[in-house]
Amino acid sequence: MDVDSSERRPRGGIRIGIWIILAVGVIGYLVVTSISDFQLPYVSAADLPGASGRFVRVAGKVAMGGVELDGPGDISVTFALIDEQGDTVRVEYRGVRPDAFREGAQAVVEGTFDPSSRQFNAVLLQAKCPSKYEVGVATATQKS
Amino acid sequence: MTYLGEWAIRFDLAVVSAGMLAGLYGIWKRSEFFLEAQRRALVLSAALIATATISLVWAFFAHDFSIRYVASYSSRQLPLGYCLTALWAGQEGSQLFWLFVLSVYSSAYLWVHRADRGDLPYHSTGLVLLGVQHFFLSIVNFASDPFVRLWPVPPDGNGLNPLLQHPAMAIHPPMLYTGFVGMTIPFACAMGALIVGRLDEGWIKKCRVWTIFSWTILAIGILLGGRWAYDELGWGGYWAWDPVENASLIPWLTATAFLHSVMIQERRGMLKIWNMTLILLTFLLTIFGTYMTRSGVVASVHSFARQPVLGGMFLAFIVSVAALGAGLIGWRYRALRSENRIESYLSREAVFLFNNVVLLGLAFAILFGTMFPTVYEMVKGSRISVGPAFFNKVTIPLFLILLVLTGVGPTISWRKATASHLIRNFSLPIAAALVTIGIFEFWGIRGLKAPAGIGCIVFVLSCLILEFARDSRARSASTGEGALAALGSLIGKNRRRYGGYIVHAGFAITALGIVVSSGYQIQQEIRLSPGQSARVDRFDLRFLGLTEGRLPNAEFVQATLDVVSGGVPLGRIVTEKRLYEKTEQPHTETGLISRLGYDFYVVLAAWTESGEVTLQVYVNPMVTWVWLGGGVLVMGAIICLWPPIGKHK
Repeated sequence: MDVDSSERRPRGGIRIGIWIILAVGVIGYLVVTSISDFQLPYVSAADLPGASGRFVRVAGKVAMGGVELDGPGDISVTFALIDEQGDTVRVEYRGVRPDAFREGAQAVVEGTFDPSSRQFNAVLLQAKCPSKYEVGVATATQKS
Repeated sequence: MTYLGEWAIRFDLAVVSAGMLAGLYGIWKRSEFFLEAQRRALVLSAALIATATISLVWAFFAHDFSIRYVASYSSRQLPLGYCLTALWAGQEGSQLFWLFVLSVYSSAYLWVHRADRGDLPYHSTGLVLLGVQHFFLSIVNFASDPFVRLWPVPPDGNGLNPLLQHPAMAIHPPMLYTGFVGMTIPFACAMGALIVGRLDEGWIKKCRVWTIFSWTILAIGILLGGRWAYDELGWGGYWAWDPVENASLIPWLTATAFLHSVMIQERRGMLKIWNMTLILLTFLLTIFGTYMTRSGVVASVHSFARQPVLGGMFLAFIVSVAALGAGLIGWRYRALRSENRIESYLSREAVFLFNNVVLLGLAFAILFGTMFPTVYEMVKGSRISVGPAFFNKVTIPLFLILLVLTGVGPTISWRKATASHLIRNFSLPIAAALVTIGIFEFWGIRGLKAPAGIGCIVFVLSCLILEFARDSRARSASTGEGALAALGSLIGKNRRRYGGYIVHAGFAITALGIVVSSGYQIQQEIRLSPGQSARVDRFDLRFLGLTEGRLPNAEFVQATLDVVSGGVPLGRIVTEKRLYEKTEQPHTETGLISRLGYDFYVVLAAWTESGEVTLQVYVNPMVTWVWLGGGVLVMGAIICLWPPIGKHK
């Protein structure tokens, strides 16, 4: 056992520093290398056909007047997402919509692009009210 | 009134600057007069900051919409209680609130250690506190001024984000801030000791107590944040690895590492440089966390709008503090050398060191994952995101190791553990853990990770229970007290040690809640017409109907359900969507039945005119234990911090 071997060492100490450096190295290596398995690229709407079948993210704004619900009471939704370059993609999402989701809101979708239907099938929908915290001062001044 | 507040923060900048100069000169010349002047500047500064904060709160209560900040975050309809919490709803106000908390801490420091007024480190610590105040004052004065005026004055304000209209929002941000800002005091103690070269026991004692205090408050803040997310956001969970959550967890991890390694310094006079580095790192990480969330550099649900000036100021501050801190440590290198060496791998020192490595590994992994998208975008120009999957994958094994160490650390002996000692202490807990895992496998309960985690927790808890049982039996044998009385006086006699064990038990209980609720969560989507029933897991749900109504500032739709389990009625659940007038944003109010064994959690997702509803139903087993463990942890921390009886002045 280690206990015995360290007992025999003249100064009574052990080379713990080496082990620490080793442990830190291993943890660091594992963290840094495993990130490539989990990173998800953001793709613009125009590049989506090139990334069909791959799991990606698209960020943009929910187009005005483009939100269709599948039927009353159903939670599926299809909408047009306008990305930062101004290109549009149709997105279908099944699941509970976040509260902040509405026309004009900023949204991020995660999923795959289906080239045959030219539609993005999202498994995750995040939305953020454009003025969530910094409620526009302009609106406050206009009101007066 | 508000002009008074504005004047106060402008004038305070001069007071703090003068105080710093006086302090520098006083420490250099050892001049009592100038040191006293610095102390008074710190007190005056606290009074001025309090004036500014109170005047801003006053403006909220008085609906003074001539102040832009008040117009942006409140309205005439806002309930009075939220007029107070609106103070920290936005960028400028939260910066002022930060400063306010810091000044309260500074005054508390001056008061608690007032007996050391003749000591030089007392004043050098004050100097560091003034320096940090100076930075935040500059932010409030130059980069994000809460007292900017609007002209013409709007008749009404924009209202407060409905998400922030929740009781937890009244406690969670102040708790996080109090925890975050509190890390300034240990940092100031450490740097103060380095400045004057007084590196004896004194600074460690102060540092440790203030760190435990802030650490506890930060833990409460993190757990309350989780509770808020669980109650308000309606996705059935409480932790999403959002950058803001991460920003609060990272310094907590490094502070935990410090609290352990400082014990080695006290006991064995080792790791002095390491401890200094940990304190510096923890402080830097709290500032960096604020920078991350306040400057908009990292995209997050919580983040504020991008502010380059503010971001630049924060970065400059972080870099200069890091350089100054490292410089001071280098300057006092000789005084910080180790007095001893670690003798064995099987000793408490080695376990503590290992725990430090794991904690720092965790902090690094989380920081790396959080910052990776930002750095990637800067380097490569394209955007990526790092999801919860990364954090779960990387942190779960590390957290499990940490969990096991929670049981090993308190039980293993200092210097060197003997084989017989190890067998006596750990054979029973290991057996208990194996039996637990065996039972899970025997019953064929799904998954491998969760049973492994539960096994670790059983190990930790039995280690701790055994320790308590052994020590109190020994005490009752020697004093003749009854078992419970012996346990009580045992804890009372050595609060620091047994309080620490209780903190460990709390951590294990929280871990149990996390492991079980994430391992065995049940999620189901159901559609029901009024009068219909559905079955989720072992629960029967009966949908009674929809009601519509109005609140003073919102309209709502409510679905009411009766929940029955095995013929026994559990209660009635009401889940609703609200539509707030000012923001026109829908808002989910989740329906919840909470028991010790499980939470029944219902979200109203959609409804039709005919009254049919779509519900998202979650059964979260043992999720309450997450916060229950938090309660135990806080109790343990209070026991640790309770001042020794009889030593009061």
